[in-house]
Amino acid sequence: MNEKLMRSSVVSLFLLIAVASPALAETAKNTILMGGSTNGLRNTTQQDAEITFNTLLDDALKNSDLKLNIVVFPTTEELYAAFDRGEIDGLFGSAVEYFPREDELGEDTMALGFKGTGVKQRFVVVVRRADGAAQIAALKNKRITLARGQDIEAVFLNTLLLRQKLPEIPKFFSEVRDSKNPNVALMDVFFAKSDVTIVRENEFATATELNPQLGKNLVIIEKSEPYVPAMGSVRKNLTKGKVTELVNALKKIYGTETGKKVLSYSQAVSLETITREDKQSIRDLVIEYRSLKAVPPPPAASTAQATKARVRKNVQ
Amino acid sequence: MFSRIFSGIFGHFFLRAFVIQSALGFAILAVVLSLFNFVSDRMAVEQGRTFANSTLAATIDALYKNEYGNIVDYCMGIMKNTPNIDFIVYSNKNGTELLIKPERWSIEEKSLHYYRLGFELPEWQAYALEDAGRFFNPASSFVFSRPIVIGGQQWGVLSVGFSKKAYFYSILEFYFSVTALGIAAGLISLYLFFISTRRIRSQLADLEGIARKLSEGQLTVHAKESSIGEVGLLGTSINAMSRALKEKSDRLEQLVRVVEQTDDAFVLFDDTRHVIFTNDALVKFTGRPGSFFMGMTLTEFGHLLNLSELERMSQDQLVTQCCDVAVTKMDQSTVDAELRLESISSDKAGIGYLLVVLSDITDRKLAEISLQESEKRFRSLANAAPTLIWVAGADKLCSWFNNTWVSYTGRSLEQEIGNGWTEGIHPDDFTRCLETYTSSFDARLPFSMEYRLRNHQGEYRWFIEVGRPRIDENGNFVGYIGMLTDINDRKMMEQTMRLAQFSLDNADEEIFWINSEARILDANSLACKALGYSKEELVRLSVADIDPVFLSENWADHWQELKEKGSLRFESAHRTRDGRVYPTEILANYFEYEGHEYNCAFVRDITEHKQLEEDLKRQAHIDFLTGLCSRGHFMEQSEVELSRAIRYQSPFSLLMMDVDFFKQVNDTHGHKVGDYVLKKLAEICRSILRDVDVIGRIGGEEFAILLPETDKDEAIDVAERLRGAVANEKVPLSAGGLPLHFTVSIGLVSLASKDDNMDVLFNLADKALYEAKNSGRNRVCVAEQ
Repeated sequence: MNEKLMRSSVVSLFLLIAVASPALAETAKNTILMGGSTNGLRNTTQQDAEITFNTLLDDALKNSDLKLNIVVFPTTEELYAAFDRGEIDGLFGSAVEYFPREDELGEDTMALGFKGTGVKQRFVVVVRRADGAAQIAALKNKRITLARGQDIEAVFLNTLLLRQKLPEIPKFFSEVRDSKNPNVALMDVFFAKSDVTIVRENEFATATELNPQLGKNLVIIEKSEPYVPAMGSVRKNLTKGKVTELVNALKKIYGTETGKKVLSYSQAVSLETITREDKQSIRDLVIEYRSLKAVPPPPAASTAQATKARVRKNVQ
Repeated sequence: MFSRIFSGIFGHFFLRAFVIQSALGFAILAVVLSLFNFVSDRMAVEQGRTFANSTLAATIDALYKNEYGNIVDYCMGIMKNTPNIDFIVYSNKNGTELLIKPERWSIEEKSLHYYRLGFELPEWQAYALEDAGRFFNPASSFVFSRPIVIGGQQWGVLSVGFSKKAYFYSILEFYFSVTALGIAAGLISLYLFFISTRRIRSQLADLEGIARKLSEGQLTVHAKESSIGEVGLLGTSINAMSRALKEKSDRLEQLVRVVEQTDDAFVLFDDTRHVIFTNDALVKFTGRPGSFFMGMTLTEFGHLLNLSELERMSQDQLVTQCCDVAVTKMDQSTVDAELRLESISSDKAGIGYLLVVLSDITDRKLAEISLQESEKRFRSLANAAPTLIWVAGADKLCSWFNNTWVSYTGRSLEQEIGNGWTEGIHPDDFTRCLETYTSSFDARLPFSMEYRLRNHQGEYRWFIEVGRPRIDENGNFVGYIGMLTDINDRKMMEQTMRLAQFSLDNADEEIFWINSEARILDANSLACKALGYSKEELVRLSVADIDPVFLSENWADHWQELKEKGSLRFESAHRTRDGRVYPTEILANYFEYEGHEYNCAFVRDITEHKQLEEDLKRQAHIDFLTGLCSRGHFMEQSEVELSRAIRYQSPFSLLMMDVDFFKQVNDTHGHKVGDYVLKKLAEICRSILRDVDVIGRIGGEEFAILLPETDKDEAIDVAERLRGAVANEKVPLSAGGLPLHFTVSIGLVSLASKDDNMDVLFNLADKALYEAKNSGRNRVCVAEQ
């Protein structure tokens, strides 16, 4: 398994657990079961995520009466089904996954804190400088690379396209490439395997640290306002005392060597509780996307052209 | 503790052992380092090969699709968990290199460094190492490169940089551990060695103490010889050394004591011939204290003591010299002394010390004078002795003879001196005499011999000579002295005695000398031979032991009779050693000698004489031709048997038998056949008759037979059986022809009355025989009574 990606996934998963843990329901054995989907794991596997997080959480709560375990479902739909059946006590995931069940979750929500930016991150659209594209509209029929788990980034980009009366990603770009992670997506653009990608601001910073040539050859043409990209909570029925105990234990994870190491993989430095206001911007974005999506976009480039591009990519 | 460990011989040993052990350890480490370096290279190669192959396998698809992002992502992920990988480079022939490090990556253009590294490999080598072998530069890397082939085409080169840091620190830890452990092991082993050698150190300390005592002059110390190994041997050697030193010290002390207490004066001159030592005895010779002579030269010393010979003798330093001198004392008196010079080797090469010894010889001088006087006295006495005396030197030559010798031989002393005296020895004795003399001389043994020496009249007389070796007061052999005694008369007597003894030994009769107690005192050779005893055995016996007839209780009477008559001749018998008895005739002679009584008995063996007597007697009783009783003996026997029959009233018969026609036999066949017929008849009679019957030939062909305990009827039966047997006998004739038959006629008579006598019975039987002849012969007729 790609170690870096795994660790990044672990960080994300951990973030979601942290977000969801205050809302965990008390079980007969004081075990709180949190659920997530592979969409939220990005590039890690289900088993790796479960093993890594459960070990880390066991260590964090070793002095507590509580026990926090996670379970990862293959799809968001299965996650929701398990939540709806009451098989899990909380939920963690991207904002896209979180908000549909927000009403059943408690107020105490947790998210990752990043150095310099707090719990929020900006999304940036990156292209090669040499291509000369300065606006999103100039990217029509270009190839885009999206990393796994970038559903919220896709919401932002689609919103951006929809605002300009442009079709959504599948129809606007000639080819949509998948990548293991945002860093690979950026390198795809760098090596001209793709023309554009969208990543979080801290991910782009990390990539340019790894290779300053990226900073020279790639350029950001769009940057979002800060959003809380992922979060998690337990159900509302968990007692306040238990939630507080969970939150305090998770906050201390960064104080442990293992926790600090896992969080550092994604430049995260803390697990923090977020307020409703913190979630508002991302909520507004989702709402805007849904509202814009309701208006049919103008006709996109011909389907034949998109098909041709896909065929060309496959031939290469 | 530290000072104890690192002091002394064991400290010396500890330090060197430590240094050697450390040096050896580092030397081994140096060897191991080279080996480790080699092995690390091999490990790096293997790791590089493995890593490069796995990396290439994981990224070959991305490489084919030009998805470098995936390659970078994969490689960086791998390097995050592989700290010893410094970088990974994908380089193609266009000069583009994708350089990936754990924390960054980059694209290098127009750089063929790693490409060349990989593509300049020989065909047989799938990798190359850069910066290999320089292990001690942890900042550098060593690079493994291998070509990348995609679809059969060489795409480029994959290079993997390995950090030396991990290897460096691992080997550094290894070295540190080994060194620390080595030092710790060395210190522990040294400490254990120090502890375990406590006993031997203690023994060495004891030895050191003993050696110190030896150096302080305590020579009676004794080291333990049972200590460990060489220490024990050292103890033994020290003990031997102390004993040797003690012995030499004692001897030196004795020597000092002797030098100080001796009556001999010792003066020691150094190699420049100046006096450096004198003992106290020098005062006695010079009257001056020893200090007076210290530093005096040899010449001055000689002049002062009037020792003119001293300087001359000192010239010859190698030979011990001595001479008798007269030392002049301070008061001008003189002392007789023996001056002796001894050269003593000094430690330095060249001339040694000279020791002058003065020994008082006053007593020796007196003794010499006394000896000379003694010699004179001896010669006076020897000349006056009646025996012949001679003196010889160690060279076997006679040097002196006394006057008695000279007078006896009639020769001058000069003639006799040397070997001249041997001219007077009898020629028959000469060789034996000289052999005895020479062998005794050579063996330094006393000798005694008898020989004849000629006198001045030319006659030889027997002498016995006794010689003894002469030993002087120092135990040295100086010759012989001998004395001859005239034994001529004794020799003559011995000759006579030997003749007498020879005569006795060769006499025809056994001769015994017996004392009054019947003990045998002596006997001649014939007596010993006849009885089978040696003379020594015989003289231990008495008469009863050899004479079975002798009765001890009759000895006194016998001796008295012998004494009265002077001699007795009688017969007796002797028994030999093996028990045989033979008859003897003894002539006993009584005599007295020097107050004692003796019997000299001459004994003659008369066995043959007795045998002859027996033969004559037997011939008188037996008929020569037939072996039957002669007529006389038959008559004697018949009287005896008749008397017995009458006395016991037992029956008794008499037969008279005559050969029929015997005259014709003689006439026809000759007397020889006639004699044979008579012998045959006697033979038939002996076969038919009993042993108690008496058969006699009483005439030419006439026989008589006595039948005791036989009455008439029984006698008739006997007579008939006898007649029948004869009639049936056939006598073969030597001339051939038919065997001869002959018959007998028998007249029989039996005792009828106790008044009958043999004459009557003979007449009656004779009549009956006559009747048998007349009635036809070959028959038996009984006499009418």
